[in-house]
Amino acid sequence: MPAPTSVRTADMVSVVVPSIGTTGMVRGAERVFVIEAVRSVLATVATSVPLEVIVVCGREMPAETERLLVELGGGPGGAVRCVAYDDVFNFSATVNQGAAHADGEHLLLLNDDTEVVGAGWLERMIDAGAAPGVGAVGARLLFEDGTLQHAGHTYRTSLDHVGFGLPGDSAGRTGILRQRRRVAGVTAACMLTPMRVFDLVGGFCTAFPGNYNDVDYCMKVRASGHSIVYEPDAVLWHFESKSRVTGIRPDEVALIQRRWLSELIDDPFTPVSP
Amino acid sequence: MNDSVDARLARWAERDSVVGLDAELTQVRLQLTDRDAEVRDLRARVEQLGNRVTQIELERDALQHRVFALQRVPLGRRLYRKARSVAGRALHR
Repeated sequence: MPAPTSVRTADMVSVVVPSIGTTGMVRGAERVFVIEAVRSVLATVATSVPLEVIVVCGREMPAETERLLVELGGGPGGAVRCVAYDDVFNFSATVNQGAAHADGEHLLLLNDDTEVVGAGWLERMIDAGAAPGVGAVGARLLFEDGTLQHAGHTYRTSLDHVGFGLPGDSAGRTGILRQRRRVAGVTAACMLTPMRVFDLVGGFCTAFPGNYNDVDYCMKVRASGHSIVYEPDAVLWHFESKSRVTGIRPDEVALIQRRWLSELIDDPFTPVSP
Repeated sequence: MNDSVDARLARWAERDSVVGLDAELTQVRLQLTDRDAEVRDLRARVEQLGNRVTQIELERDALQHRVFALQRVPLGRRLYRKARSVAGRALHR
């Protein structure tokens, strides 16, 4: 594991990317997801935004991938650090592990199977997060086929993504898919949150190893008096399968209901047919 | 935050626990409030139903008396006719 190198800067964004170095096919070509995700971040963020990338490496991460990641950080985009996570898979724990190594004022949680679409995305998220009381900002995420994967969460009898499956450039019937607006929650696949808020609410709850950890985090942020904002002009590809079947554990369902049931049966932010 | 990685992780675990317990407490209090309201509502409905049962029993008693009263009229008439018939036959003899 390379020695950590980071710069302490007031407005730094710490990008936290949990990964085990998974490979997969995108647009007909095989890739190491985390390499392309980090490469796209470094290529699209202006040098005026101080940036560090912290890849939280599971024990399956190939050494060669780690080496390539650190090499990526050698350019002007920002430093890339790899920190080890040697325990059994727990997404929340990997997020916390990365955040614990972060020096930035902002945390950007990013899935390794993402790729930034174009420049200016992080600046827009930072701008959205600069409004008073904002505790987390989410992006617009597109599947590989261009359809919408995420435009904010909606919690209303079930926990869903707003506009899921619509054309990626759709504004929705009421236009809200293209509006910066408050939402019930956002996915941790791409979430900007101030480090002070992350610290205030105790980071991600490790009792949610695979599911609902972002829902729980957003609810904790809202309970602390902060709002969650969706930023439509921050656009990323998310190469998650549309038909992904997640192994939702009964204890995760029970805990999310024990903590937030009354808040999860009504969504004050999103119309029933967006 | 200039603390160590371990200190951060420990603090976050502690805070998450506190926030989580507080959230659960809020949910349980809400459920308790709901149950209290449900009990109050059911008790009011039971009282309302009790009053209605009393009212219907009174109406039922009144109807029962009326049935008896109406049944007594034909009986009286039958007895009157019988007596008149007996008396008539006696006079013709």
